Amino acid sequence: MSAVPIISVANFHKAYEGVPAVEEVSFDVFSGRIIGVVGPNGAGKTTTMRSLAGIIPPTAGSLSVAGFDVESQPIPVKQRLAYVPDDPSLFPNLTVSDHLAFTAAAYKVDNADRKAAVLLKQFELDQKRDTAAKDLSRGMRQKLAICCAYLYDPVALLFDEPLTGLDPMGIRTLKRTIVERAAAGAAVLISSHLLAMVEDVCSRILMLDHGQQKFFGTVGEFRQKFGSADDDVSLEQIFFAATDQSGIRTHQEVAVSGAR
Amino acid sequence: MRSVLCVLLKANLRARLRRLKRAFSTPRRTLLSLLVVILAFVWTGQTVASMLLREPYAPDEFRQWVAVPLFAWFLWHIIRVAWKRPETAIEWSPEEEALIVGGPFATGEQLVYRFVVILTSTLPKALLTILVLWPDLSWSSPIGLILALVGLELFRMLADIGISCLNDRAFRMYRLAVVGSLAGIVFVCGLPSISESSTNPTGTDQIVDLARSQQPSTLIVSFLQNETVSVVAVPFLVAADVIAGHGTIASVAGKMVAMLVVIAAMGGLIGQLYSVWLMTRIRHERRRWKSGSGGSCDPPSVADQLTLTRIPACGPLIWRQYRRAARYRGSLLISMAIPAMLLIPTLVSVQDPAVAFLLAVCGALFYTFVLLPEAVKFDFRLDSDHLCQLKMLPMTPTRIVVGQLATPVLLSVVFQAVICVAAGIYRSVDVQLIFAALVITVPLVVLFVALDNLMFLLYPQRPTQEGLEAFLRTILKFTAKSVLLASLAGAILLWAPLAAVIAQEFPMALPVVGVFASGIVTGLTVTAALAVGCVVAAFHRFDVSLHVI
Repeated sequence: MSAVPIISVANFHKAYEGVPAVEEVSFDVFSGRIIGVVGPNGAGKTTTMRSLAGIIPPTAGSLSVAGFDVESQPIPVKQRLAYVPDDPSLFPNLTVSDHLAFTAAAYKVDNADRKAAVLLKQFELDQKRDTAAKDLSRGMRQKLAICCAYLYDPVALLFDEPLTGLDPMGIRTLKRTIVERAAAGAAVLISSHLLAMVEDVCSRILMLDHGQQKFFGTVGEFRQKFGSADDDVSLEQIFFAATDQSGIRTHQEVAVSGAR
Repeated sequence: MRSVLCVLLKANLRARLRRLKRAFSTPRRTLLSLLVVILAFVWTGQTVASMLLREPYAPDEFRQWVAVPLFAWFLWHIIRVAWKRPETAIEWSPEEEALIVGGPFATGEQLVYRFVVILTSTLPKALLTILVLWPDLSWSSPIGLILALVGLELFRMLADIGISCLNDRAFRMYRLAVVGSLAGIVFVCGLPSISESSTNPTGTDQIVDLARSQQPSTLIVSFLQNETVSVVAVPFLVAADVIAGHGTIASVAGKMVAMLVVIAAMGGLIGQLYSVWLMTRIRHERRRWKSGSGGSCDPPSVADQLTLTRIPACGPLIWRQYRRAARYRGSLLISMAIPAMLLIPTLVSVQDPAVAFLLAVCGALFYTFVLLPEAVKFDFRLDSDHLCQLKMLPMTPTRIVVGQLATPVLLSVVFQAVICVAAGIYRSVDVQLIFAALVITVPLVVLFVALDNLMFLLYPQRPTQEGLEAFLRTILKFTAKSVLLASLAGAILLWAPLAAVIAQEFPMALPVVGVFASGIVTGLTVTAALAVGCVVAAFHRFDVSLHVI
């Protein structure tokens, strides 16, 4: 594992119209790691991802991808990073093939046709090559966005609620490919409310709540800090305990109150 | 970037061809497409024929005439940005924001993409203008027109970006300067008329004579000849020279080069300003964050919710559309104030008060018929992405339709009512005439709004759709409305003698005018109700799964 992080976020702040959305977030993601970004709605997960993707500028702090600063060197960052939003924006009238061709041209992908064919088959889109994006179902649009993201082999992958709309086969393929990409050296950030998925795939957890970083570490550390190292206790229970820190309740108390 | 652009442009072209093919994919679509093609041929053919057969203008007159709309468009953008500050320097669509702005492209490359989009959308406009100006064209006209239109589009972009870069104080100063200049122009132009009228005891007649003697065209051309204005208008006179082929080949070619230089300079300036805007935006955000001055939301007022949402059944829908309209109040006000001002000369210059009043009311009605529906489309037409939600509402289609149409109808009626009352008071016409005009206006407005929505529900489109499809759709809409209005006019003509007979035959000797007017109002109301009924039926049968737009 490389000593230089692929994704580095230091003292990141973001404010919309003066209202803070994210405050003092810092973390590093090294090559081969898969980080689950968890937190309740409005925690700042999407804002962090969009800032890392160079879509919205940070108000303060530094963000870098593969050693390039997101703000001052946006092009090399974007060439090495893929961001799949929860509701992918695609050109409505362009077909599946058109989107892949555009991505291949934009990111200067070698052997694009071969790679595209493999990805389309993998995500069961090969029958939809000539279908316009607006005529695809929600899940297929998600699959197309993932195919476009994978096409240029980015070193950093950001997924925001990637399972939305996917069928069981699509979910399985996505999980498998995420692990494969990480094994090949990519750094992956996955924002999801599906904690079972986070537990399945992620090695570490970044927890945000009300724009603040509550935790960053391994799943084991997360369990220890907010509940128990006992594997029988689900991540969901630990999460509830973690988001209820005002009263500092343990997972057992949460479980008991839930049982009532 | 160039190869990426080619890929995208080619893909877009293929997408257009697919859409064209799709227009003939079902019998219903084929029928409409054929109808549109026929109508387009009829209208365009007629226009082309009338353009080709008209006498050409005198070269100097043509040159000045060409400069006028170019200069007017330039002024419009200066005023527009002073009135309503753009929310962002460049408006990217969500997919452009994700794939172009979010893609690995430098700012310059993103702007090149934008310029290419502008150029491709300018070419059809230039082609259409060439057709209109055909008898007066010279060898340099096509290039001149394209350069002039591209230049104006770039200026529009420049104005948007430039204004976005200003801080609040600078923007207020700019707005003040524009308002001051406008007031100055009105004062300078209006002063001679006022002074002449004030020295004459029959001042009103003097103004009327003046207005009659001066055609608007002459007034605008003489405005362009004003010393100060002519300096500002130099680029437009140069463009007009190229379009009109005014001068020797060498001088026209030189002016063409000058236009190219101006366009290139504007492109460069846009690039610079856009970079400045990107930095200004984040600097402003950081300053606010550091100073801790948090923004405040603009929650809907409780009063609004209490009054509008309590309207039985469709209240929430009306409230929603009202909130939407309130957000665009600035542009709404402009879209209503400009035609109202354009009616003033007619109202002032026509001698007979009743005729002047009727002309003003009919002018406003014509505007409501042609252009206002586009400005007040806070109905189904802006809800192309929300038809699913509307279908899911626990309301009958009738209530949904009423809720959806209420806001544009109300806005149009208010516009008409203000014109009617103001014109009536100014020309001191009979109150009954004002009342009659108001009563006739309401069903007509309902009819216009219902027709627009009916066409949308039968053949839905996105609100931002542009290009040939939008043009053909406009032709279709205009034709359908014209046919309906002509039918109504025919029905009124037939009704006139019939009303006279009824009035005579009635045992209580009713006044003919009363019978005639009440018949018209009843007829219009029934027609409007039928149109609304058709909208209800269209919404009821609207299949969201079929109309993927």
